[in-house]
Amino acid sequence: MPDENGVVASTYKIDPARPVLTLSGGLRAFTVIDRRDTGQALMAVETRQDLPARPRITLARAGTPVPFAALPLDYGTGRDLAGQAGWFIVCDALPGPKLSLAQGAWREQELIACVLQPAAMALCGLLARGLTHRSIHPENLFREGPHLPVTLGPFWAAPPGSLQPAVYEPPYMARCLATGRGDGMIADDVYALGVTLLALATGRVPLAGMDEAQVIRRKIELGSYTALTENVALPPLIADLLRSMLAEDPDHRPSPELLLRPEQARSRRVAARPPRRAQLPLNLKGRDIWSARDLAHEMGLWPERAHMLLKSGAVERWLRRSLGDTQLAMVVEDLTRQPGLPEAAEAAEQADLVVMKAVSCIDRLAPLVWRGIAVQPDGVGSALVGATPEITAALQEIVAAEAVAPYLATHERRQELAGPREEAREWHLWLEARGPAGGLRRLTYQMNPMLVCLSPLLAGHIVMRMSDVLPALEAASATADRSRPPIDGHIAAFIAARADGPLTGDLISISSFAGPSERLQVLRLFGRLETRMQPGPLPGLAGWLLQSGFATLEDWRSHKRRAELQDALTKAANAGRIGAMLMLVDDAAAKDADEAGAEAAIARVRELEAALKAIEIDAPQRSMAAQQLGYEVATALGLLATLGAVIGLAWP
Amino acid sequence: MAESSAKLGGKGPVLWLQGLACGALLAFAAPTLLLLAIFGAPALACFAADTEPGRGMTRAVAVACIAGALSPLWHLWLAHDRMEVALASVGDPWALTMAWGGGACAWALCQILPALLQSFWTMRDTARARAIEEELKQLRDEWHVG
Repeated sequence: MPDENGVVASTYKIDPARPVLTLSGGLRAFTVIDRRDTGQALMAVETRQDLPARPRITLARAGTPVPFAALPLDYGTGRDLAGQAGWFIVCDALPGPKLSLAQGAWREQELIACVLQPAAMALCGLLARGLTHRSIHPENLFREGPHLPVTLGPFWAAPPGSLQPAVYEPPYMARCLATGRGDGMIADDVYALGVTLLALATGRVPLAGMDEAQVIRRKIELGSYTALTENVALPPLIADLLRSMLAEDPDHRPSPELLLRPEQARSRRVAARPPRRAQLPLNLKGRDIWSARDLAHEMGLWPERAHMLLKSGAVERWLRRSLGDTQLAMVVEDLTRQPGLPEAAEAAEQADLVVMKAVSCIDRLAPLVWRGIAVQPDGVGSALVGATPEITAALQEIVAAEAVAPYLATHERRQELAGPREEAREWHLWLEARGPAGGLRRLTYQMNPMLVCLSPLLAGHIVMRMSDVLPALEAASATADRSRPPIDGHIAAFIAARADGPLTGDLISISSFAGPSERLQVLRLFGRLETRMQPGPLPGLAGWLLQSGFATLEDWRSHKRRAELQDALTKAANAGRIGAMLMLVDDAAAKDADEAGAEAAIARVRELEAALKAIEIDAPQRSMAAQQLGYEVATALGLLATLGAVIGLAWP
Repeated sequence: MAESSAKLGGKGPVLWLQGLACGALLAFAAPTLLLLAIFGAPALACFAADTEPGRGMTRAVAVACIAGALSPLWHLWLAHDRMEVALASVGDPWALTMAWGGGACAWALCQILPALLQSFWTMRDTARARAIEEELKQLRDEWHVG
């Protein structure tokens, strides 16, 4: 629960009245006061709910500082000036204004000393921690003043590469959904640094005025270096560096360590084979295609048309005859001739799979393409957050088809993607899981560890960690409609994604929140959470659980016992002790005794009802019996009188 | 013959035997028959009126009449079954009162005893039903028994 004073982790105090700057993506940063009086200038970046922070933020936080890079110090909830709860990440204050605010072209010496070398040093530090930056562009580079080194701005407050303009990204990254670009490689940071150097050297953003699609297409057609430096006069050293930094293949780009020594970096030339150009173009959707990379790009954009061309053999023939790449043609031919391609039900999915595989084979750098969208395998999770229904459907299909595995089979050299390869099956299982703890929501929370819970029940209170759930619900209970359950699909999926075994087990058995056993499971879940998190008394949430029927005694059979328990339950709810409520409702021995008592009572009632019925039925029979008995008694008396008379006559 | 036996409800042979006995009595002991007929008049009337199976009331009245008629019969038989003795006994108001009074007592008992017994049993059943209903109410108050 965000505390009213805006304190993050009890150490920092955010001052929402003193905004520092607005970062790219509209992320606002505020001044932070360190309660320990360290004198350190700090700021806090407020994250956006639709752009979850990078999961590896903890990795960025730990360890020794990285020079010339803003690293997070801590994170937590707080409130902005409007009183709205937010999730903030605290970091060192940035040294000065953005480089994008500086006017004019930079000199070669300043570019090397103040931009290239500090940035390379920062990338070396990040690389040592297994991190990438993925947000290097003049909007996110800061320096105190002229002739001073730059600092790489925050890169952890949004999904990797999501705030990076397309021109600063290699084509295979720029082509992806903004939030689906994945962590990428340090070579992608080198590329972005190269474009940044170019922008600063020329004093203008390259390819300005073009939209993203045009930028990507131009880079694919001409190659990044040629496309970006066309009609541009560059200093020789910068030009040499950019030639290698903007190489299409990430393996051909210099490492950050090499960039620390620019003279050596400029002399390192990797002989990259120029892309093969076809003798005759292949027409796809009205565009003439001349190279394999261009073909892969267009096939990814128009998958239905691409599948038709693949099935008709046009792609294979063009690759063989016009482009002269027999080996690639054979690979594509093998793909399209795979047996067992169904005709109807799964045909569309299979078609997407074939196109995806074909694109991956034709361009080894191509992202995973599916129904016109493109993502990196480790970006599927972040792309799910805030996606449109169409994109969500496509991403779901990627997970359901476990398309990441065959994609990665064609990218075996990309070691950084080993994780998604192993997790693809698990993603599918999460998606397939039934009930509120499964499906798309579960997948989204599971794949985005830094995503806040998006449940409307929380009424704006921020829940990032498991320990935030109960306090946030307690705070929300003040204004909540208590006739509705205090849990919904978002909260269930969030807990299932963040919790460990026992708690997840409670949720998996719940198919809805309607049945009495499911409601008891929910109460058990909250009870266990309370025991584990020790959030203190929760009278609001306890009352909410009671009023919405989650702590119900309806199935208790003894009215007297039920009344006693109801009193105890009300007292426990007023005291805010969910665990105590659970103990009252979920007492198996007492419940068994109650059930046994009820069964005995039922048997006794049946017995008594039968006796009552027998009394009613026997009434006419008893009337006859009384009459007969009366006659018999009268006869007996007559016989006695007769006997008396006989005796009187015999012995007068 | 068979038709008349069927009309009498299968009691033809018994009636024939009864008729034969009455005929024999009329022939050989007419005074005794007269005495029995006069003193047993209440039983005969009861026999005619009693339609209940087993004729329990007729039996009780008959036994009581026989008890009242036993002394005159004894004196008749000691006097060798003479008619004048029989007529004298029939004309004796005390003897007649004893026989008919006995029959009347038996009839009265047959009316009173069943009513008394039924009242007693009804009271006992009502008390038991009330106790059962009380227990049922307690159980239903205590338990949710559907």
